Amino acid sequence: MSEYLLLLPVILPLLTGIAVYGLPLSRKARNFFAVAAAALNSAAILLLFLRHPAGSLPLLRLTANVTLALRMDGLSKVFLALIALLWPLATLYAVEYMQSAHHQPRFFTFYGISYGVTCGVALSENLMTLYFFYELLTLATVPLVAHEQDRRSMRAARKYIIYSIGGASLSFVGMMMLSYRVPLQGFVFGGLDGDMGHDPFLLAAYLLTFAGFGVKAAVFPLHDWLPSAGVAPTPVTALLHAVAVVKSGVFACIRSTYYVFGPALLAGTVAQYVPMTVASFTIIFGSVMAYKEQHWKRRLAYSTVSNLSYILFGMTLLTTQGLLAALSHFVFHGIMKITLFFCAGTVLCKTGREYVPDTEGLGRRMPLTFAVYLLSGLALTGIPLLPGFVSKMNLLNAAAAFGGKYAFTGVIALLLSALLTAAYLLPMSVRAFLPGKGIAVCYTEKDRDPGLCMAIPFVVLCMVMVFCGVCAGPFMNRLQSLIMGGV
Amino acid sequence: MVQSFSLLLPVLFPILCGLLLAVLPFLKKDNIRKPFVLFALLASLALTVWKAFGPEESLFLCSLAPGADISFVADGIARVFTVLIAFMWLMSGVFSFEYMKHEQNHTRYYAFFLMGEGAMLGVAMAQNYVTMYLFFEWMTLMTLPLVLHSQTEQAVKAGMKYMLYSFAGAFAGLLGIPVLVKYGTTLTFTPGGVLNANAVAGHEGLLLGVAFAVILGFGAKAGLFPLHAWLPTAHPEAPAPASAVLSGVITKAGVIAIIRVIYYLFGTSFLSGTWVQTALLSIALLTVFMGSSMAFREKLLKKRLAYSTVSQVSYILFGLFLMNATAMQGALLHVICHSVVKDGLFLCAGAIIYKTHHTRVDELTGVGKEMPVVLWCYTLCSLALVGIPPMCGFMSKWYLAIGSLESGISVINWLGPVVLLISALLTAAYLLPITIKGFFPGNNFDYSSLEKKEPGACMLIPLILLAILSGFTIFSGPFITLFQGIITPLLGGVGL
Repeated sequence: MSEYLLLLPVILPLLTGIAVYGLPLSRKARNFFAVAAAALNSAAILLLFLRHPAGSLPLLRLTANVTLALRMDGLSKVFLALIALLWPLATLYAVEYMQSAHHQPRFFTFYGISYGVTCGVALSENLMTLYFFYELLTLATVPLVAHEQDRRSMRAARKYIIYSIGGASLSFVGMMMLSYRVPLQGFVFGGLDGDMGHDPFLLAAYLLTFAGFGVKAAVFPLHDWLPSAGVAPTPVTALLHAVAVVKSGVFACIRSTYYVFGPALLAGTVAQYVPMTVASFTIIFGSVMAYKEQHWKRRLAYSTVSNLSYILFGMTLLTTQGLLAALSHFVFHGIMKITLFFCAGTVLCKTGREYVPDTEGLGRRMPLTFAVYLLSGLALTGIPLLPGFVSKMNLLNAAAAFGGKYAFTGVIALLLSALLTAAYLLPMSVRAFLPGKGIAVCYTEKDRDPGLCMAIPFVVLCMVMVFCGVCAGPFMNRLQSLIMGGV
Repeated sequence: MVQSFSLLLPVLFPILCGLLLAVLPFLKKDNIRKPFVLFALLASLALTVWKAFGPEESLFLCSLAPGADISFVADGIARVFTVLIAFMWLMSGVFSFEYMKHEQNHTRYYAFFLMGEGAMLGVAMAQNYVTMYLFFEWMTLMTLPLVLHSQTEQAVKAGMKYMLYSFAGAFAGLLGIPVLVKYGTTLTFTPGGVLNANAVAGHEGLLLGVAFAVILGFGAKAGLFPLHAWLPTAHPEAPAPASAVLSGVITKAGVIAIIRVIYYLFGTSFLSGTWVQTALLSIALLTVFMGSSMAFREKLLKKRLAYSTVSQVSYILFGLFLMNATAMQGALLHVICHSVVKDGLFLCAGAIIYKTHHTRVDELTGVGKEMPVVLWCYTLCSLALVGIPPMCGFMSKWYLAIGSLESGISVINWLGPVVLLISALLTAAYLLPITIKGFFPGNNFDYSSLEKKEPGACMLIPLILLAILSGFTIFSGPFITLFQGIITPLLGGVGL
């Protein structure tokens, strides 16, 4: 009966989220309740890992062969572990960040509900369930994007809805086309077997699905919602638009590529090379845009655009090595990017500075924040001893092993993007500590390192980062056994 | 080979000392800091000498990820370079004790100075590609605060340029890892190369292209065209003792990396005679000539010396690209010669700036009357760099020219010595007029304004030591035998 446990991480946040809204709690009690609820749900995920239910749990039978169902396999575990680590930390961070914001109950309600929906994405048993939770995720996060309720955020929210729902409808068409040829079934590693040949109809279906899910994964030219959505409060940008929502897009792409359509169908066809080329282009495009951007959070958002395509590039290699490399960046990028966003958010929240040049010399006043920023910047650039190097090396090795001109274009894109990453992240971190003397910086009393609620996530994330960077061996082995060792 | 954890000491010790300096408050007092730094530098030198004369050891430390091992070795190349690095760092460090009186933030300077040494020793002692890459990146980061030490807007910009050029080079170097994983047998440095002939067959074009990109990339640190431009920007901005190690030693990180890539990874048998070799030789010659002529035109003393470094390090690279034993011998001799001489020249420039505040060449008229010892040291080092026998530059350039003629590569074989000769003339033309004007200011010179400005012992001792060493040709016999022992296995037993 342990299958019912699968429902726990999906339902629990929904209930606690509603409770946050409904219960007449003081601000302090509400904050505590929200953090405790997130931690509790992470504990539920841990319990799920320990009990390890192997079967699937049908929720709702829609038609004869379309059922909404939950099941946990290796890939789900990777995603679940990532969000279980980050969600409580981000909620804790949000407590301090949202201190003086309006509509706090609404914020924490939807913040919590998104946790459950993301778990639903991770635990989906088949494409239809994934699609369902994917749409739900859009709806659950719209109030978070529009939180400020000014013109800019309303416009950003509208853009977000149009892009996401529009994208999902493309995936829906792809899914319909697939079900026209083959009966829909649960996710199986390897997807369809090769005896269909390279059926052009199915390839078209795959491309539509990829484009649809690619919207949340911010693939060029469908990326534009992501930088705009940066108007949301930073805990939202950091957790949802660097990890949960965008990684759901990537996750859905990985699911449909490896678990539905399958490498046997796609390998060596246009359905492999088009996404690969698009991903390579997005890698460069995102980095160039990030380099040109002076608004701090928008710069990080463009950096996310680029880095998500690192993962997609690894995925499109359609080899096991490529998938493992993609997943290592999937996890490491989540940890690194949320940290970067936290730093930008802390500066924005404490000092009101939101443009990069305004941070010159600020490291003297906020040493912890900028030390963390420097470390995570180095990590994202790919300096050895930090996790970015490991995942980047995995991707390069996988691409070289694949060979051919498409993969080598990707290799060049990765290396150029690494240089651009150094150029858009590191000078500002260095200048924060070692400013040029001619620059007049006016500090105020408010320019101070944050309190405990923000400092704890910083310290924990940095420790995780260094640990992942120095001994990634066990992590990679575990990843391999999760993906290859069956369910 | 013997596994020995003590191999970690030369790398970790300076890094640890630097960290302690940054963290412990009681070390920040001037009268405690100086002895501590001196002790750290002397101990590092002692450790490297100990490892250099000990048995050949290696150490597998840990694995960052599957295929990314961290391991160290004390082989021939590592021995030569580690002792050189530790010695040069000691010289510049002692010099700093007086020079840095002019500057602020001493603790930061010495902390990064020591950590930079550790990272640089790591580059020299790395046993495989990943380890070398790791220390290569961290060395850039550790030396960055030295470049922008004065924190003027110009210095900060120069620092950023240094960092981004180095990273650009390193990322090009990173291209080698996946390719060698696929087409090689191991990432561990192996004399003669690691390529797997069966895997390579049919992919020679790709591998040659990658080798070319990797070597140009690591060449950024060595000031090789087209990634040389950071050098003349960064060196003049750094405090003089820091520019001395930047120019004299850190550029050699590029040399070490290129030696490892050519002779220990791709292997000369794969690269020699290909378009890559011809292209690299042409680029090296171009850089030699360009650096010298830019130095000749430059009026700012430290910038002139920086351009001179661009030119001189490419002598070394030219020797390495020729891929024969004689030229390699010349290259290794020139590594030592250029380190000693350029360290000496930058320290002289530092002493002059420190005492007179003159930075331009044309302000130095009569400086020899005020600081005779410094200018004598400058002159000896200059003569060595030009290559006047019996100074050290003569010996190395001789081997380089012979190696070039022996190589049998059409055009390059005679063009090489010609360019080296022209560049030597230019070197004389940009270095020696300072001596002449300095000692013989001419009749119109106002002698009454002269005063004794000779610097203190902390500056003079390293200067004099380096000036004496610049004549090391006289005792270069053991070095030649030593280098021969290193070179022979690299080229498949082809002796001198």
